[in-house]
Amino acid sequence: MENEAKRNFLELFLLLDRRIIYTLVALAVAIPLIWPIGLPIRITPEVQSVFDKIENLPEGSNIMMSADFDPASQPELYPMMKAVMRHIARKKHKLAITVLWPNGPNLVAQCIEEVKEEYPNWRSGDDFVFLGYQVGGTIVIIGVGNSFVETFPKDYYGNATSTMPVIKNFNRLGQADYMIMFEAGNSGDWWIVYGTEVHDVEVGGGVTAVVAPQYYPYLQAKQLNGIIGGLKGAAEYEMLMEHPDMAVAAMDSQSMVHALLFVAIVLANIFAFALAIQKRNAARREK
Amino acid sequence: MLNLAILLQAESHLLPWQQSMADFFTGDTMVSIGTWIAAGLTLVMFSFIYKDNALFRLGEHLYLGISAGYLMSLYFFNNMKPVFIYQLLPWLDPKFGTPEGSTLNLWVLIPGVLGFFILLRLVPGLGWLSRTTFAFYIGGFTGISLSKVFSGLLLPQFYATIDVIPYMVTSGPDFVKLLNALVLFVGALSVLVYFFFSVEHRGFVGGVARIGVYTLMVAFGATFGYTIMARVSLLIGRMQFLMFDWINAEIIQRLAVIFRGG
Amino acid sequence: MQFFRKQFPILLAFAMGMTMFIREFVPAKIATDLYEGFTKWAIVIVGFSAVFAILSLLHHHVNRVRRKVPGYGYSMVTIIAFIQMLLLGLIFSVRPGTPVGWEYWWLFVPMQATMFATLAFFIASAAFRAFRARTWEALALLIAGLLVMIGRVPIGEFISPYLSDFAGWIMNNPNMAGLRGVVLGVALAQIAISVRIIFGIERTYMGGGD
Repeated sequence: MENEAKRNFLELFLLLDRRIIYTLVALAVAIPLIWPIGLPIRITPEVQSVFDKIENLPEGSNIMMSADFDPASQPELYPMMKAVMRHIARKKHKLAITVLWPNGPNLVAQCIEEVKEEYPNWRSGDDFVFLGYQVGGTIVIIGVGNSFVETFPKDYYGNATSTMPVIKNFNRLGQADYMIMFEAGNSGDWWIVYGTEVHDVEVGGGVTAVVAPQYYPYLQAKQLNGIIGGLKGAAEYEMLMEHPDMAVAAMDSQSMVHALLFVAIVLANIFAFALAIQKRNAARREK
Repeated sequence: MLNLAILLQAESHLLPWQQSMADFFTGDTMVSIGTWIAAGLTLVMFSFIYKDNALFRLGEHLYLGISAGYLMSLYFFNNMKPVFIYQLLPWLDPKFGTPEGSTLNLWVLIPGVLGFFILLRLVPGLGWLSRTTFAFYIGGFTGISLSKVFSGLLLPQFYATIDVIPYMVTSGPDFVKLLNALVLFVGALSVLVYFFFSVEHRGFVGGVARIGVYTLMVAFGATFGYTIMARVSLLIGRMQFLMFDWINAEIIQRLAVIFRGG
Repeated sequence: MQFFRKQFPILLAFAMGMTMFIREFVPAKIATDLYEGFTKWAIVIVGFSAVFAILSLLHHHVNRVRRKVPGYGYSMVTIIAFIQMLLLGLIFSVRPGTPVGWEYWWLFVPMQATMFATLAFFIASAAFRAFRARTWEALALLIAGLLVMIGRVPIGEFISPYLSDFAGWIMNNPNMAGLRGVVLGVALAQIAISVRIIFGIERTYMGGGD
């Protein structure tokens, strides 16, 4: 009888209604947003490498940025792009930005406006050029390796790129001192193969957590100098910038959901194992 | 009747009426209306978690139409206009005649015609013309990628794999370094053996392939862990919008203003 | 005419492929000019293919409305949304501060972001209900997944710095090794497919047509 009650509990737990799971996940996200815990954030070497590179470049260095994502990846990549853009504006580096995904340009434009509010002297044409989006993917990377002006005759705002002061010494990928790319898919592979390896430019990757693991082979092969992986990576970069923002605010919720899922999956496996043993014992007793 | 000049000048500089329009669409009223619409659409899309419903399908199709219209406009401004139309008809460029203006380039007719062949796939009987375009583009691109993939991907990754062999010999008492080098070298090699199906996976080869399977399982497990992180991050982003930008800013704070009497 | 339908594209692919490959090893200005010229032409061609993709989508929905298939009302919503977005975009441009910019930020972004945010619920439910270590391989996957999942967030680092260090070790070593094998395999496959395309063995990229 007791075994039957225990077995029912095990089965009940394993067959928990999905709506209860959804509710628990929603609560695990919402509660820390209202009552933050303030768990400390440890900086990983991969993120530190990207930060150190941008920090140690001489003022006025040329940096290429590619923001290859869309609103689906915005919560992860927008905070890290904003933190890096702030860093570049603070260090007064020259920046060229391109976008390979069609739904991304307006996100980058919004980010530029937000950074300009903090650095009002950061000007399009003089300090940075937002080249915008061009159809073609890999072909655009090859084109950018040849010439910004020929691939993007006009920038995102409709201004001719040929006469911009920032373009005078920074008109192709090979003239970049560093590149940072924000990737939600495989376009980072294309940048490495057709861009940075061809023109010998050091590159760091800000990537969504889904694709982060597949960039580690490039990190070990030194084809990437660092990886800012997912929202946690964005939070680390914000801490390094000493400017906690959206990503740091989300970390407690991230932790709570991960802890919830960790406990749930471990318990589910333990209970499934226990249930299997009980069923096997019950079958033996019946024999 | 669309004024072609306005159509082509639309984005080259902000005219006074465009500045007024920008101020209107970024003003408080439109931001507030936008927040309510965004919150409504967010809840409509979330309703799919409960079950598929008509509202969700409506939202889905609305998303499709908006996305397609946006992309078409974007392709016109970012691609068609600067790299094709202005090259063929440079006098349409508002900056024509200045150093920033476009110049005539009739060579662009060739890719233009090839591109037009792709559109002919929609016309019954003429779709075969697109094969020429695909042959031109794909043939040329594979020629470029053949050497680039070899020198930019295969060789660096291969060198990085065999580069750890010296560590296995010279690591000395640094067991962590030796372990890492072994894991790296043996893991990568065993995965390649696992994917080599021309030889039966038996005996020694089978054993190595087994190590490859376990290496892949660890890699996929790590990917799974990171995938959970990614999806949860996206949910956190939407929850932040709903809780702070909508409920807090649009409801709670406005109610507070009303009850405090402005 | 049969020649232009069948043989000519294969010959053209071969000629273009060999030209662009050999040009890589020719240190002359003509090689650079060919490269730059091909890139410029390719951008124009890809623009047309992007337009074709959208026209195909529209074609599908217009057919649904014309044939009045069940649910054609949804297709009408798609078509109306497309037309208004296109007209507003062509007249006023697509930047922030325009009607299209407003619709992009307050309609498109929330809908696309939410579509992917719902995956968090589904992945949590699927992980809880289906992720069982029934074999040794699954156990390896489970342990690696759980350690990375908890070690790479602040709570794991708070519980123990060793959790975080071990998660980092997993990412930098066995994960890297496994995916290195995959990357090498993919690179070899890409090279093989490129050779097959150039020599006309692989022709599926041309699509059907008549």
